[in-house]
Amino acid sequence: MSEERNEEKLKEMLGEAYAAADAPDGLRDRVAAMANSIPVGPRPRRVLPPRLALVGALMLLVGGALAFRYLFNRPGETAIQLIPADALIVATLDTNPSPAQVPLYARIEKAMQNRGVAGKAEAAIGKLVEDSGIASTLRPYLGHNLALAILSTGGAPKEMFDGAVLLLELKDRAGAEAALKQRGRRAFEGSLTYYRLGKEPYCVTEFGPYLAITQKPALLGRIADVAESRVPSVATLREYQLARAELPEDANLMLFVSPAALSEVNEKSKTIGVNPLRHTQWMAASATLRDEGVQVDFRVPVNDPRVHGGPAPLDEQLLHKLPAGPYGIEAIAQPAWYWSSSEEKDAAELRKEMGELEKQSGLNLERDVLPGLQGDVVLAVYPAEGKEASVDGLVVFSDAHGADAALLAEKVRGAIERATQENGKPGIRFRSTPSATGAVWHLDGDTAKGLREAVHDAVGEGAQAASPYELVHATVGKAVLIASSQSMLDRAIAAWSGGARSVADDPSYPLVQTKSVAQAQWLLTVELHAILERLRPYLKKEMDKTDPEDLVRLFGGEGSALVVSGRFDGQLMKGTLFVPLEYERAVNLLSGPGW
Amino acid sequence: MGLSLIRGAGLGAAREGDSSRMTVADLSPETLYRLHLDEVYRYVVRRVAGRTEAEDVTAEVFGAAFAQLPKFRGGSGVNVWLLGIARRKVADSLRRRSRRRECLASEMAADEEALEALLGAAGGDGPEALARRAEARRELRRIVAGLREEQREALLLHYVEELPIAQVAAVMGRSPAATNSLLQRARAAVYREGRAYFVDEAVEEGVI
Repeated sequence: MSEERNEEKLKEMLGEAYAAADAPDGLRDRVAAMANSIPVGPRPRRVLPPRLALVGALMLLVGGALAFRYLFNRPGETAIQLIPADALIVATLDTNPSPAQVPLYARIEKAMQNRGVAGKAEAAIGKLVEDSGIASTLRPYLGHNLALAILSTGGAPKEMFDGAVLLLELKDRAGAEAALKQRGRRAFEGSLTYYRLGKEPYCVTEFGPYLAITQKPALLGRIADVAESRVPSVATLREYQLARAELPEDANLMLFVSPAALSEVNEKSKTIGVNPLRHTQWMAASATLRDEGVQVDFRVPVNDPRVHGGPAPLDEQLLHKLPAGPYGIEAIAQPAWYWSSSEEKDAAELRKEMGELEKQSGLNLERDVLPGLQGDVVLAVYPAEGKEASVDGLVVFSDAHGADAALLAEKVRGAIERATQENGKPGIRFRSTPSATGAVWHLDGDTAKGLREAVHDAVGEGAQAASPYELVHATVGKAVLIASSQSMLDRAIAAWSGGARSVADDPSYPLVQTKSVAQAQWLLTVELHAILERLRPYLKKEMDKTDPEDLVRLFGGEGSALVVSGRFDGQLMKGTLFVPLEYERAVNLLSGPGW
Repeated sequence: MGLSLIRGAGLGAAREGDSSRMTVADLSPETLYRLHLDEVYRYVVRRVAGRTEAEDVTAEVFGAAFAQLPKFRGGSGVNVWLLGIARRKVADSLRRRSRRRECLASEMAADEEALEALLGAAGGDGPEALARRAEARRELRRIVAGLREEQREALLLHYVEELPIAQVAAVMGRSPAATNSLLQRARAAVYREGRAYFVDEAVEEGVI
């Protein structure tokens, strides 16, 4: 008896001690947004008896993650299984979030709900398509995922888009079928039934969970051939599989340019004589939504028998030696490699021109110039110290990989001085002063004055009044630093010598590290937020209907940067572009009165 | 206090609409969160440190549930299935924060004022009685926090989430007999540690 009473008491006390409120509204909205982003479709039916289901489950285990990805999560990508293997170009759009993207989608949904964008967008699309028979008839039954294929029709390039087939995900197959039957005109392509709507030139039919739209009924027949396994799909192409494996699993937008397309380009370019893609087998690119922004990846394999390996990667210490706080940096490793591996350098015309240039300058390209370009070359832009709305430039020729840029600079100075002499009168001259790390070189007084006058003539009075620039350079060991002002050069020398803060101390450095490809051979970073911050007063003045904060912070705040990087290993060019984005700001801007 | 939990076999009887006839085919992401969000949130908020974390974990639970929904066949009740996911997500969260032991006791204790408001305790009892009840709650949470993790989970699922033993067993991945045994040991430990509240004399004297 006391046990029962105690249990009642325990239940009551625990209930009080662990009482909790219902979910807050914010969470309800967040989960609702997640629920809305899940496409509604028919649930897979269990049609197999348990034992067969077990066998099926084991088989599915073999196909594992791939099967799940294709069958359940990525309707856009799955649609490529309906596209013939000889397609020229295939693009897919998958808007369903991967597990890692769910919180981001919830953020975007919430921002859109807060700003009422979803309704506005829906209304705008409705208005846009009200005159289109297909769009207005079928839009209620469509999901947000699709694939687009350009199939070869054997036509001239301007007719290439005649080969376009759009495969749209159907979220309500029965509804779409009924609408087509009710409002479409039935037609036939062989044994295939399709529909035409209104006076539009499009043919429409459904293939399983997809609606296919194209201008040529014959193309629907080719899709049917794939659907009925008479011809292979793009998904079976080895090149497609290689491309797909190179791109992120949860890429939202993907583009694949097939060997067939490049072969067509090759054929057509024979008449023009120029084809930069002649050694390219296929091309692929993707865009993926990430928490901090949009990541674009691209891959281009190159099969050039003359090229063995790529240039050396950028010096790992490079960003530790450039002064902190740039607006942007562009760095390229071993520029000499690009000349050495270039096919064009052997062209008779170019050799002749180079010979002329070598004669005039007295510099031999391979003996004098290329050894100085074996390191990294950097072009950077910085906010000018103490000068509002002004910038400084910095160019660095590094001493990585044994490069002797200082020797090259000496030869170039000599060549410039010789080349600008006229009738025995001196032209451009340099004067040097020794420094603790090497030497600093300025243009001499007369040359600098002449240069300022030239700038004045070119840019006008205002530019001359500011007149902030003088070309100075320094040698630090075998490296050469060229700056647009003495203060910029001082900062660069200090950083290069390890005596000042470097780019590696900047808040965006970790992001640059994580968002660039490993062992990058070229790198571009742009601190968009810093540039926009500098432009804030102008934006505030110009944007009366939009909160300038939304634009200034559109690409994130401190710690964010646009990062482009790439690498070529002799066979595959691998590149990544990362665009930082505060999605909420983007939604605010898009929903603002300015739009 | 309205715990308003969804109980029952199969899909679990829903608490609103004509959901008694609901089949697994009717389950959409929207139905899922409309019927079960509060239940899952309360389960989570009782176990993790902080309401923000609880909201994040709850969102994770529904993210996982939405992804798994096409495969869900209704073999267990929806609430059992969801609480099973929630249990794993809570464990992940606690592992991340390495605060497994402290969250139940300290976090709930920190919310005592909110709890008073939630319980509507100001309705009739005088200040002295309120203080005694608050003290009893703190003491009980301390005792429960001292239990073995499995015992604590079984106790809360059964008495707070109000799941029958078979469903507690399903959520915890144990047999009903083993779960019953866990519960018995948990109860015994609570009665022993909190005898001031559970002996007959204490009840009759109105200590709580």
